[in-house]
Amino acid sequence: MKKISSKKIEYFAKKQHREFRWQSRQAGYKRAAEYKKKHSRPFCPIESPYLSLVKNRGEFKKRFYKPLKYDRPKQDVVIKEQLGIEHDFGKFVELASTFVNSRSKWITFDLKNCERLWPSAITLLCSLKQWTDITAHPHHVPSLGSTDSYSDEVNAYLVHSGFCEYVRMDHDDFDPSLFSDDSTVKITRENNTSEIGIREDEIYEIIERYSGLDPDQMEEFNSVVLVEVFNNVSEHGISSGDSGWWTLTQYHPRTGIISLCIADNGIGIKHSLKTGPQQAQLEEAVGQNATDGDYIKAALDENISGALRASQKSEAAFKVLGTKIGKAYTRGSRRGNGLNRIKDTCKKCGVEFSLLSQRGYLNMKPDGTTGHSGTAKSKIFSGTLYHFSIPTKTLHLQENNYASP
Amino acid sequence: MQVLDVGIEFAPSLTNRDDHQRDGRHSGVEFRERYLKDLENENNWPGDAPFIALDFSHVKRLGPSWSNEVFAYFTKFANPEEILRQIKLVNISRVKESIIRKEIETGYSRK
Repeated sequence: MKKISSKKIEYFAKKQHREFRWQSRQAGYKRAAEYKKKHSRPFCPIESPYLSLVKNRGEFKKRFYKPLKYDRPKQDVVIKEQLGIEHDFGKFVELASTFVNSRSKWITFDLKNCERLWPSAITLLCSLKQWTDITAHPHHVPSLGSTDSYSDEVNAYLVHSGFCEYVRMDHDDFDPSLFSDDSTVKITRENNTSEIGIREDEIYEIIERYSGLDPDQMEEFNSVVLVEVFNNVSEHGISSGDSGWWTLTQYHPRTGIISLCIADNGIGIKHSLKTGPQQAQLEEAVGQNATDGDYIKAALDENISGALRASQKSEAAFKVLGTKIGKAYTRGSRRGNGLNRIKDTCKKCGVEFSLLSQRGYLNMKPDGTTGHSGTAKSKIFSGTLYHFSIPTKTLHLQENNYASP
Repeated sequence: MQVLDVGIEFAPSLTNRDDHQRDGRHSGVEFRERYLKDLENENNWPGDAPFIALDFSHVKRLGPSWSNEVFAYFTKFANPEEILRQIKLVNISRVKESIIRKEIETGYSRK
């Protein structure tokens, strides 16, 4: 008998082991295939309209939030005197359109001659920071910076409003007598939907303490405006991480208003409506070549919604003696009246309401008339900003309480 | 007739329509399915006697979306008066009642 070397024995053992493993793997595949055949659902080629909307919206979001290269030359943004919707709506829109869509690798805000930054301006800058955080390509992250202002009040307000903490900027302490915590709900990175109620309570406390609204108006503002705006930003904003929404509320005794900003970095009103279930109805309302501003107007005036589960008008639902005379909703609960309710309540309460959504803007005066509306050349807000100027009861009386104007 | 203290037995803040809004808790859909399930049958409309009385004395905040989902839903079975006959509103402020009425009317209108 031929002697087998130990090397050969090792070779045969390995071969046998390989064969054994191959056989057991094949048996495993067979078992898995049988299990799949037995338990899997039959393939359904008909996709529901809702699922296709979800898919379309998801694909749009992927394109919308795709990584951007911030590699263009440095940009200096000079902010002189005052900046805010509260002060000059037109100037705010004009200046915002110069930098919100910027792809510069370095944006510097020159605040040296800035005398005042209003809450809406702070919200705009925080939104820009958040937008660049979300969209910047890992190798092309822009640097955002600012100079100090000659005004101590501006520097102090950047700290007090929560801006420095929001953008993670180093800062010196400021004179605490300049601002009072009782009159501000600071801007923070919001990431918890169950804390919306707490934020609403904080805002309502300031409204209750300082606003000139009567108890019924306060209740309506609380139930309709605050609730609907927070419903919108939590549904249409980004719901992951700390990229959701934010709010800044400030009582200004000398100006006689409470400035309330609530914003998100979502896909905006136009895209939300265009990727929603009511495209056909929307086209009827605004036409095919509508701009961002037209969509905002339509969202405020018509019963249209960007929610994926919004109901649609149908011809079958509206017949008289068997003759079709137009499209109508089926009776029952339905969406798309939120902005309309907000607008009506602001008019009732004498509150000035402004809405900025990407390139579109609309400003409604306290008496309900439209102040400004239209579409800017470039983006003026990364997502959507709701701004309210609520009249206070102590107009021009508490001048010496706080330095906050 | 059952009397339900909405603020205590359900939630004091009635804001979201469904689980897509806010944290999705205490939504209008959840309320309707929990307390008004029997009214989802067309044969129960219009009823002879009130089905439930909702006490709003402990409700802090009542949003239009929540009201729309709870009340306007039934406009497919009944008109606004019949709905408010079946679902009584108790200890409710003027403002909250007007929010509910407006939502029912919107749901009933087809425009």
